[in-house]
Amino acid sequence: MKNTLVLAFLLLLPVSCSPLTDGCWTNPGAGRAQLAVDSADCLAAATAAARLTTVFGQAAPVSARNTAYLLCMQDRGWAAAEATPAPREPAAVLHPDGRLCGLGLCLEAPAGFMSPKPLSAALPGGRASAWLFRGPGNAWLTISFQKLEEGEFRRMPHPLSRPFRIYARNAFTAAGLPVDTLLFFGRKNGTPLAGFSAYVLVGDAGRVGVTAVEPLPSEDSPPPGLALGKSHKHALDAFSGYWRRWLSRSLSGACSLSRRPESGAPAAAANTPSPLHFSFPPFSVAKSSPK
Amino acid sequence: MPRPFRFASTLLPVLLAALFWCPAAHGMDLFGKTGEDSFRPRPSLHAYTGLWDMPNARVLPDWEMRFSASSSSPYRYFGAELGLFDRLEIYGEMTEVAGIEAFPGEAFGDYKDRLAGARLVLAEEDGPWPQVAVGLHDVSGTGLFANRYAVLSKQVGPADLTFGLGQGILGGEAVGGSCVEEAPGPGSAGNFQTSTPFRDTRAFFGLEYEIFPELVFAAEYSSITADALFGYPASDILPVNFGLKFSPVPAVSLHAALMRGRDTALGASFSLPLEAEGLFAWKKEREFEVWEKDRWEAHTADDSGLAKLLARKLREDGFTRVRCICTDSAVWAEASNPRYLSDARAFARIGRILDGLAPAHIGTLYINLVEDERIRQSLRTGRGNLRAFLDSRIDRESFLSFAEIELYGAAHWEDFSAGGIPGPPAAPPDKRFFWNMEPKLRTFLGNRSGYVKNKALVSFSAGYEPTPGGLFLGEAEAVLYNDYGSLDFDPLEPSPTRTDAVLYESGEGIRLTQLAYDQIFLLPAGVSGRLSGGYFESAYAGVGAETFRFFADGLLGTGLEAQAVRKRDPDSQLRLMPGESNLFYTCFLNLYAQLWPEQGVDLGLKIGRFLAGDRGVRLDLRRTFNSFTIGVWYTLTDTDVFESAENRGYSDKGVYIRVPFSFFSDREKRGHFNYALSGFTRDQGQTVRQPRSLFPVSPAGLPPHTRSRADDMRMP
Repeated sequence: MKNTLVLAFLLLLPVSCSPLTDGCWTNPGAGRAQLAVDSADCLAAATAAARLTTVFGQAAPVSARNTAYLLCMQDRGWAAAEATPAPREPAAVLHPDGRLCGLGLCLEAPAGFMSPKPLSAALPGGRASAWLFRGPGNAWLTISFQKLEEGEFRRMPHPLSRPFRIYARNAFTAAGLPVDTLLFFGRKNGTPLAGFSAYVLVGDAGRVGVTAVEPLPSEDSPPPGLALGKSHKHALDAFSGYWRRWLSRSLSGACSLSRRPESGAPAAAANTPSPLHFSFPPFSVAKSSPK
Repeated sequence: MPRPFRFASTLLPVLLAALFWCPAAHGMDLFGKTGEDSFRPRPSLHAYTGLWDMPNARVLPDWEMRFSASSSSPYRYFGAELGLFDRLEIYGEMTEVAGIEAFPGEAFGDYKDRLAGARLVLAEEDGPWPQVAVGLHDVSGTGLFANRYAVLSKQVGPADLTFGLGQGILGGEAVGGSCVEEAPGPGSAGNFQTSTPFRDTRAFFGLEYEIFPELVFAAEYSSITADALFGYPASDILPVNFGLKFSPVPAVSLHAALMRGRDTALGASFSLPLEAEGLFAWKKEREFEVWEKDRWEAHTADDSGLAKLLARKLREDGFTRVRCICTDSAVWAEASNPRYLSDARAFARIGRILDGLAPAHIGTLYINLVEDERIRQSLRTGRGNLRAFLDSRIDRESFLSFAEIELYGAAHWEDFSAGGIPGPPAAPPDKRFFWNMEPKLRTFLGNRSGYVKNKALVSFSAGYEPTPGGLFLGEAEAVLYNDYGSLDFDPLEPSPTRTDAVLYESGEGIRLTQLAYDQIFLLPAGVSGRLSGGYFESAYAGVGAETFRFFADGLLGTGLEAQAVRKRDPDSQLRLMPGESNLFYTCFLNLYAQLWPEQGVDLGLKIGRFLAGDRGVRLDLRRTFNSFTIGVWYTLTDTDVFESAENRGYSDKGVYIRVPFSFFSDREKRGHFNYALSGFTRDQGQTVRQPRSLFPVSPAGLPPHTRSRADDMRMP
């Protein structure tokens, strides 16, 4: 019975979404009925495919589903109709003084992080802006702002997947905003790395994402049964404390942030020789890093 | 006047054409897909599996329920049935007979008859041999529709052929008592069902023919005569019934038939397997994340620090009553399981947390589940053994050959503490206060003032645990809708125990239904004790005491229980009714036994003095499987203490079902909804509700049940 209901829903869905069916797809050899059938088939296939990409297999992310849906429709001979996108206000802007402002907040990268480069940051159903900073000792930082036009962000732990492992999670409130952090570590291209990620929820529909990664100091032998050596553990503790303090202060002084973080670069930044051979897109270090 | 033969002449050619063109014979369904042989037991118009009026030898699969409603003029049938062990089908049915007024001038409406029945498969279909079953229909009460039968069914290609012999109304014989002019005599059905087999017997036969797996043509030659049919208005009937059964989805069956050559029958049924993951697919549970920071803390901590870390992590994961003790080589962890329906799953979760965090020198895990303020089950396992089982590298038997699940855990504690008394346990604090609010609907069935009387309310409850094992519990009900006040139901005794229920249930507004303190404690010799005092329910307040202990690995148990209570004033929230006649007490010996542990069948006996002073025994037989419990109770007491004829000779009986919360949820949740249906409200065989009970209500939570469900530990 559940399958029947799902099938009925899928059959009805394309009909009820007239902008999609009427205005967005063209196929000279097919009519509206075929469009409805193809659209329903592709939606079902895309939903199933997108489910496979989730961490726990429990929900279909909109972005992955839309991508799969578009590919499926193109395979069936449909072409997306030309559409002129309306100019949209970015989720955040980079001011000449280096501050990133959006969602009613202004953040400034810590001392030593410079040369912000805008990143391509698409957010289905909303707007996103992101920048990549390069810091001392081959450290990297991304800051991104996301604003949903519809719906809301749920508070959730930051995702992580291999080759990285969780060192610790934390949740706290800064300037009245809920913050969820993740401290992780792992090895990429032979280089041991430490990472800090955070989600800051701003209202129901806004979210700021921060990810910082930097190489860990030289090799360290972990005790039996553990994955981190003592010096790496201490480095991670220091790394965590630094970025947490920076985030808390940045949020507390949002929109008038002129103070610099406390003296001292990120942990072990001064003597980390290995360059990073990959870049981090916003929000999800883990998911994109294998590329 | 119906014109049956015109209808038949129109329908028959269509049916015959359908039979000749038979996709089912080629294994195709309505959508042209082929599949495996899918012949399955289909509902009749009644609550049992069968053709139309005639039974066949098929039964519902094990632990599957079916609800059905159908109409075959002048009858309307409403029923529920349950398949057990692929051999037995039991059911209850309410038959409404249109045109016969049960209580002239009252709002009761048409005559309604409740009945129960069962069918047992004696031999399953095997090669050329048919399936053989016997059945009893309408086994107690008026016996207006009582019958018994032996029946054979054999599948031949897409057809399922049935032949049977029946007695009672299936033998053309009316055996029930008069029911309208006179009060029906209880025992009519019982007298027939226990009577000699040498009485009027008639043959019946028929077939179900799968045109498609979703569409079945069914026809029968009925052995029922018009004279034997209670309330049937005509005598010239054709003994043939035929029609179609359509299943748009496997769980649903819609049917239409022409009955007796003159009456159109329509019906629908819905069946579902009793599984805790019911209406919604469960969301996958988040795995326990092992953080390297915690592993480092565990690595550098001493025994006390490690115990604190593990206890904190178990508490953060949702377990309560957590206590942990560590030694150089082992961890002792106690926790109550408020998360999982299956205790095996709780063992697995705790095991994963301990194994994920404990340093390498910890080799043995003692995982103890706490219930009723004491360890109920204790698992001792090596870490490697547990990990290998959870990772599906060894099977259940291999795991259990190296692990032990023990009742109460005394031997495991001796083993753990053999090297000396370990330090004090780490025990993070629990929340001591909780509250709940839930809507409730109470229904009084079968009153002459109206067959269905409802009371809708919202129940508010709150609890506070001031000491280990102690619980203050308060409960109040806010009435939203109530037509109990219109019930025509007077007390049967000068000092009624339950037949004054209308006094307590007909009010409006808010009623304090419970305000009591309950303390569970441990007595010598491993006996659990419980004392309670306060307002136990809307009608009673007083004190209670109980003891209980399991034996033989939880297969047996025994205890004592007593209450002394006084009637509450129905017009006051707190006042009690004065006088000797409002004082009641009970005293019981409680016995418990698991009769068939692998199938979750257990039995409870309550022997002693019931509320009204009637002495006897209450038998409670039930099966707990897939987290559902279905049971029946029957209370046989000496009813000489009663004055009312309706109480004298009566035996309180009923059925109940415990439905897991998870059935209605998208995730696993511990806890159950309880529904009970008793035959009649009488004063015989009554007890008083208590805030908690030590007497078990299912075998879940005991070692034999957990061992048999050990594979649940590997559920994702």
